[in-house]
Amino acid sequence: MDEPRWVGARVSRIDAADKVTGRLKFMSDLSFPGMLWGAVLRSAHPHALIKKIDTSKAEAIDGVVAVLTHKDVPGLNGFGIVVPDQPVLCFDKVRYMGDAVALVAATSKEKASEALRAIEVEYEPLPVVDDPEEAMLESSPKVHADGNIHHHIKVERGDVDAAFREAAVVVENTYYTPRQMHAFMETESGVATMDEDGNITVWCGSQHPFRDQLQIARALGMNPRKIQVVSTPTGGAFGGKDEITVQIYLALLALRTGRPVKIVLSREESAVAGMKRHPMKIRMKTAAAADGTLLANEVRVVADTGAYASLGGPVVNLAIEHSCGAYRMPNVKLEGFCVYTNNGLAGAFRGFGANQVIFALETQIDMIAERLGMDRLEFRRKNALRQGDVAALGHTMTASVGAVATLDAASKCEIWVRREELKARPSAPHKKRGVGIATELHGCGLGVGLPDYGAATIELLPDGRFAVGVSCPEIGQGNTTAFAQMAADSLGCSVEDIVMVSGDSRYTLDSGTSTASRSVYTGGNAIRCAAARMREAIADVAAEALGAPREEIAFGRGSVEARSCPAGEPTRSAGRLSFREIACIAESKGRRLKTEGDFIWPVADRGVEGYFGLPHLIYSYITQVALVEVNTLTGEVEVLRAVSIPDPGKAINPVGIEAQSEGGVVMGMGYALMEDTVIEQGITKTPNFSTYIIPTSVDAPEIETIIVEELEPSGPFGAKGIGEAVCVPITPAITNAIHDATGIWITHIPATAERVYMALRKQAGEPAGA
Amino acid sequence: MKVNVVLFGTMRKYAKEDKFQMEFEEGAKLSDLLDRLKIEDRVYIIVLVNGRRADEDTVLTDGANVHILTPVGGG
Amino acid sequence: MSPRKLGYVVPETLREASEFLREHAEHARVIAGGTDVLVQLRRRPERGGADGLRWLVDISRIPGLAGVSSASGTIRIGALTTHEEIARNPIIRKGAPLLAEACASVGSPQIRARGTIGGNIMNASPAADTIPALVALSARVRLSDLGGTRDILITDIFEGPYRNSAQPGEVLVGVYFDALPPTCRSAFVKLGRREALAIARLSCAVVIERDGAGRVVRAAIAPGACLPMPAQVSSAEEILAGKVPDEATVDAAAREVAEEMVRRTGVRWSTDYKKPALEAIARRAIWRALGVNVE
Repeated sequence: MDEPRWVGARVSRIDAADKVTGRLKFMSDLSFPGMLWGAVLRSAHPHALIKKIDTSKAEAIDGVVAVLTHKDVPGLNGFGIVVPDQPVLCFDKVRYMGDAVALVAATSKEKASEALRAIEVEYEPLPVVDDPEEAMLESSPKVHADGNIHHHIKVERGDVDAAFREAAVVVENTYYTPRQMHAFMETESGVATMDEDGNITVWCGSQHPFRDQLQIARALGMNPRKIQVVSTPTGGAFGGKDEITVQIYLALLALRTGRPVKIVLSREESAVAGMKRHPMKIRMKTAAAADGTLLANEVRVVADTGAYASLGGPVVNLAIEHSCGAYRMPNVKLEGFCVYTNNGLAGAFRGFGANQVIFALETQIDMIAERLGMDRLEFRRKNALRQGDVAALGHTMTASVGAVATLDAASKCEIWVRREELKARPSAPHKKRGVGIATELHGCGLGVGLPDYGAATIELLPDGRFAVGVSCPEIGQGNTTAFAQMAADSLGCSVEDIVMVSGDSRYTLDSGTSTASRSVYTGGNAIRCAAARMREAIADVAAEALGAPREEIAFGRGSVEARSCPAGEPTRSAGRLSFREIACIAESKGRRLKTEGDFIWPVADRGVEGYFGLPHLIYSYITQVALVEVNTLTGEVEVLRAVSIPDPGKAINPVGIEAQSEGGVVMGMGYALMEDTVIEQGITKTPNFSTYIIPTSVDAPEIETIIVEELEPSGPFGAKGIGEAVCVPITPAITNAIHDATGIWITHIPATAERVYMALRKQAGEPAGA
Repeated sequence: MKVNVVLFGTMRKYAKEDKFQMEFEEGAKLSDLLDRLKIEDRVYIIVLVNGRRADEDTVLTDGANVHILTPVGGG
Repeated sequence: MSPRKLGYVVPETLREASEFLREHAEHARVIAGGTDVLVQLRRRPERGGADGLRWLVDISRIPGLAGVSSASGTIRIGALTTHEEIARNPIIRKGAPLLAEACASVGSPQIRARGTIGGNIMNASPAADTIPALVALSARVRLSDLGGTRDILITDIFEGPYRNSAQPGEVLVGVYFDALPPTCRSAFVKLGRREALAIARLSCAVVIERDGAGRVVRAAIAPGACLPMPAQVSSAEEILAGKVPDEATVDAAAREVAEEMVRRTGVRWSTDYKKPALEAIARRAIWRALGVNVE
């Protein structure tokens, strides 16, 4: 194959112009003739029995076309990626304030709201379960009949107790992490339509249209083939649209009314009903020898999954897998609990359990380095995994490993090299500066026991361009641009000659989710497979048309030619056919050139007995460094600069990686300093962006991204995945920088001004309230 | 003809082994294979035949690789 | 979250507005930029939404209520003047720079372009950014009703958080204060949870006038978002009065601001943080009003 021309180039996003001009229509922008507005009646209590639902007054309102309750769910009244424990429409009880009790469709948004107010539901409130550790007790009220512990994982290797006895340093701490909101720009929204034959199409932003199709089919009791799901473009997802959001509501209302129905959640409804990051309480005990060799890690994680399972189990599994980070750890005792409460809903979120444990671990690492008097970066480099090492869970790191490479790059970045000089010059005498560092590895794909597969289609269009289909939706991460680049190089054409088809269950083959840092790797490999077949098909047509032997056909840029002349002599221009001419020739013979490609992921050499989804074989790596300034009078923390050093394997589009990296740094900074969905007694206290605080552009630091490419032989052009890792170690890099500045350790995030200030006071030995 | 079958995750409960071969008459469909494994819930499962999503009417061929799984997600 | 049926009237004169507001009393509410009212309408009544409301009275078409003017040393700001206009206005930047700073710190560009000073006052949020500045300027507000107008001190318009003392029928038409002389300096300092679009958790407005010898002849200190009712802290002002302020004096005044806050609010769960943080902010504001930028 030729030297890649597009892969590795700084290519503008193929959807950039449509997005910045507003031409692109997101699902919430779509309208159809005769369209109705749908709305969802949410629970009035965080935990209650439903005694009676009376919809008669709502039905009598002029302009209200349908009112649906649990009685109107034709199939299984439940959904959930792993176990369908979340009712489509509640019937016996409600378990959180976002639970759906009824649906309405009306001729206007206002009529729909009026109908919601007219539905009478009689509840019998139950005690609210809002503390996960109390929820684990036998005596606690049950959110689900089977008990509140949804999932429990335990992994042991080596002998931690012996290691703790022999260690020179043992640190043990408890960490608390907040309930972060995805804060995507487009709330959960969409439209459903039904045709004369009863086929339903659901346009709704999501992360896996084919799984949505199955979940909708299950609830509607319909053949999945009669349901089409379109989920590109999605206005941001970050994991929050992995599970079903409004798709089933839309389909039910379209099925009942026969008319197009649209639902757009308000920001408040999204905040109350939508997914969040699992708050976790993490107890971590970590040991090292006097020479700085890490010896053991004992971890206990309790995760608050809220009212339903969704991906809570896999999130806790991945927290366990990532709890030893990018380090060799010969002795481990790791335990995780995923617990039901009435605190909203938690599930997939960029990082998927790693953010919480990496915050804890990377703080422990800094503490140990300090106790041993070792340089923080050197200590990490000493213990970092190398290719061929056995990782904490006992599997061998056979794929590319970039831990040391990213740490090496960090050791040369400006804010690390000049850290003492930068720290010596705060902007005011009462401010203190510090530099922090953290690193992690991040699993790509679904892990052992979960088959991870992808498929792609390529069609030569009559105008000589190629339609490339991969179902993994474009959720803003830029995967369609990366796909187009890889297709262009695999086919020998320009990115402009690629027409991407994405996120549509009718017009693409199932390529799995846009999650798990997997879509570029999976889609790229499937594209390469389909492209190789397309080149063969083109060569067949060309050989026949040119009257040349098949093996004499060579590919140029956008064309093929017959190499009929001896080597070294110029080729005859008459022997050249453009892709457009190939399409014409095929068309004249009644043929359309269309190929398919597929790919199944390789997996690690060793699983964890009894559990699925861990460990992974392929990991991306990242080290991040932060320079902060702490106002010691008010506790305010400002992140001045950040350096993000990802190893994504081959950077298919360096501009795309930089965009991911910058967005990830700001997201991880919000997690470190300000974001938390406050839920008290089951009631969300921060339902809008006036109370749920995320960083704005003014808060964002100067961010430098240094890409380190440790090529992965199994990846397309050497690529791995980077969508999640970019938001993970920045959080402890910031909190470690606060320590570097002030000497206080942050074990409870977000590190708000109050928390930092009170820790400073405690450090100074002043009692609170003095 | 012989077909290679792999069961994943919770689908493993339908056979003693994760990976095995099954014998079918020419022209057998995927539904015959699912019948023989006594897999009842056919709405929320994914079956790949040679890496591509298949449905119950898909005709099996000799040497086909059949992967049976439930939809999953993960990070 | 629960849109409700509301009537919307657009009076063209103050008389029409007052007549309507008198007739509908607590069922009607004035709306101008809408940046607070519309947010409150989205809340469920049981969570602090505007319950019992039937009418919105849009005063934005009434002539003469917008703009900044100045006559014989008195500055007048019409109730409909937006934060953006005030922040940019040369009369304000010269005669009341702390108010320009406060208006520039409100919300986002969009909110500043719509939100009005009249709305900021009448919404009576404890966290309103313009109020500490207006209190430090000893501003007066003018209320109009069918019988004419009356002027009251800015501090008298507040009855409590989100409650103003206007009578049914009264419309705020403007706010007045004396332009600060060149011998005066002022400052507004705010602590938010982020750099932009932040609702103040604490703020402090300070005006200081000094004589040729550097002695303080007038000091006004008004903290925001922390007192039960907006007010100056005269005990702190007295510490500065008549002195050429040195570090100890400024520290003592700032400490007094924080201590006075605790005296007025009592000790709450947040006091451990708010007291030292307000002291730090007050110190910063006082120094800046003395011409020393201590960030």
